[in-house]
Amino acid sequence: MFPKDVDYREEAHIGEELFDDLSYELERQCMVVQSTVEKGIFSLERALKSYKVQKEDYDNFLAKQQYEILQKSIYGSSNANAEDLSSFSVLYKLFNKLVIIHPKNPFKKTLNEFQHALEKKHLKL
Amino acid sequence: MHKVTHEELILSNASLGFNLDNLTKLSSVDFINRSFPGINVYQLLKELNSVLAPITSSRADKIITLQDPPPILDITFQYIGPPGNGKTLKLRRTFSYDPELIVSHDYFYIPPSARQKGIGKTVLESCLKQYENMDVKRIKVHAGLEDGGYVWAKAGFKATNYEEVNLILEVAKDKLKGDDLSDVVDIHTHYYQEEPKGNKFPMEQWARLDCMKDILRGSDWHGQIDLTNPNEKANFKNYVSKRR
Repeated sequence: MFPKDVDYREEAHIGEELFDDLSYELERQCMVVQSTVEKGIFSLERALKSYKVQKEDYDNFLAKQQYEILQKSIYGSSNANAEDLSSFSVLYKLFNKLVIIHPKNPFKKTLNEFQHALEKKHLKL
Repeated sequence: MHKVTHEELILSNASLGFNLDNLTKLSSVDFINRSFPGINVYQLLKELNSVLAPITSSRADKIITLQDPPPILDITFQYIGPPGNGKTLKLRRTFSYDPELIVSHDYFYIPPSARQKGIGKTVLESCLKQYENMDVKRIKVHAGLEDGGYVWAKAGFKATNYEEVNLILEVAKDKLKGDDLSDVVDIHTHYYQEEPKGNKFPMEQWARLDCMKDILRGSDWHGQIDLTNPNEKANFKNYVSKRR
């Protein structure tokens, strides 16, 4: 058995290989923004400035994260393909859950008209 | 769950060149299966050998050491060439209990000519696969030398030692000012107000501030990744996985 070697550690050049994916690096930067904001360390504005993240990139990160959450909630842990998820029926169900069932639904009339129009064409949501 | 067999250990020696140094009172097979269940030693050594052996110019020292008590499994792969020949290679992983099963990333050094070719990532991925098989709870690292203090912070390792983090903060106070210093101090203050003397200081929150890059490059600290934390595990796995 070798003695512990004080001249060597888990060297930086090993870790540097991990950072070659720029899109994942941006994602990690956004994750840090999110965690510092959620923990109340920084305001969102300050976190974006400190970590040099563009608002648009952060919005894209949040959208991707929400998409993954929705995907899991609809399909469980199995892999659903993007075409399935973005299909009209799924979007309709989400829309229905978020808006239509609300008592002050401002889209009720529009939706009823839309459904009526589809039924006339023998289509169904 | 995989069970190590006598044949696998013979193969590890005969075909891969790993010597087994058993300092326990049990047979190697019994000791490994009892104290480190789930590990597929042969698969791990085979994968390590396939990426590390080609980059050494001569025969490397490859040793598995078993100790008890306390139970320790140590895997070392190293070749130390003549000074300046640029062939030195060193890898060491130590499994032990503290009190749960942990693995220490003691060291991993590859020669300059073999860097940035995905070798480090491949080795880390092979190791992680076995950590999952064994249900290892934590990966420990001593970050330092060259740029290690910065790199392992950025990779998501959390600092375990309050005094070491405070030393880094003192350097930051000397070198930074204005908003940069406020950011660094606020991260430190927030964490230790929530977790006085906590052992999971989020170094990545410092590492991803541009102003901390040079400060962390010169730092020396002990860190860990908690593999029982789904986020920490997923983040590390994302980093070492080639499928990303």
